[in-house]
Amino acid sequence: MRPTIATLICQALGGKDDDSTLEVSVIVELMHQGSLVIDDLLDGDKERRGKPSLWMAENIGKSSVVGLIMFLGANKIGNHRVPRAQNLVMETIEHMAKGNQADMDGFGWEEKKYMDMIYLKTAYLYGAAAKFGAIMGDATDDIVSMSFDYGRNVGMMYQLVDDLTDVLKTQKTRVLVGDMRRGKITLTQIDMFAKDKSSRKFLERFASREMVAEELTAFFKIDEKTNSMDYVKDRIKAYKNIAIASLDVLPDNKYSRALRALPSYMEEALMREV
Amino acid sequence: MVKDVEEEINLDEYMAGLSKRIDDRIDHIL
Repeated sequence: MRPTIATLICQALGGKDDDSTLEVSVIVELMHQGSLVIDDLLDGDKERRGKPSLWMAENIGKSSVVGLIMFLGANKIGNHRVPRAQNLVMETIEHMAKGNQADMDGFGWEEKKYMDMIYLKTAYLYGAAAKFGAIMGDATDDIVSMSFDYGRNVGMMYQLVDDLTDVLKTQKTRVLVGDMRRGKITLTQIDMFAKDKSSRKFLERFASREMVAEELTAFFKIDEKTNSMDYVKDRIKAYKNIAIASLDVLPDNKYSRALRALPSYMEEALMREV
Repeated sequence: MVKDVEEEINLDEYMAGLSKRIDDRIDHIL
């Protein structure tokens, strides 16, 4: 998804589909893959897309080195191929690292802290992908800036949809899934916590991974009072609309139209899993 | 006169093609 944003923006601005454009996608993908290797290590996740994660398949030392090589490779190609985007790779990695730190520190049921965390950990890379694409398309600084806005808002939207699908899957199957199984707090629970003071102790137990499947009925009863899943859906829609509005600076062609379609395409792909 | 109609991008195909090219390039780099 991220490399697609980079290349579509570049092509929307008249950039050619050549090796230089591909290199921008490679930079973005190396940063993403490197972050997944490190995330699995930090979160102790033993699987990635149904297969053993790298630190499980190999060892902690090797996966740390592979993650580092991917980050350094992205930086090397970035500095060589896209000199105008000087330091963007390192800035992006710094933002992702701070996002990981914020995630590990926790956000104390504060919506702003949660949204700041997903901006750093997830959305900034989407913004950087769009920015790389715009720079490769020889865009003006204003268009580069609006392209970053498009990317980061798509990134925010992506993370909220991804979070919500675990809640919806759990609601549908009555089996704890993904973040719900891990007791990971996302915007749905944060909104419940803010709106329903009587449920706070219950939600705190959920966060400490003490929730069991039998408690799911009580969990979804809270949502009937707070409409928190609908609140998350509204936030997703808002980010999607802001992202699409950022594209008004691009010329109208098949590439910019594909960029307009991309947020809904991504949302539908994730929601199909529910 | 028949006006040329620009064919819209099929995102499934676009992403699959791009993904293959990126994987090949990353395999080469690593």
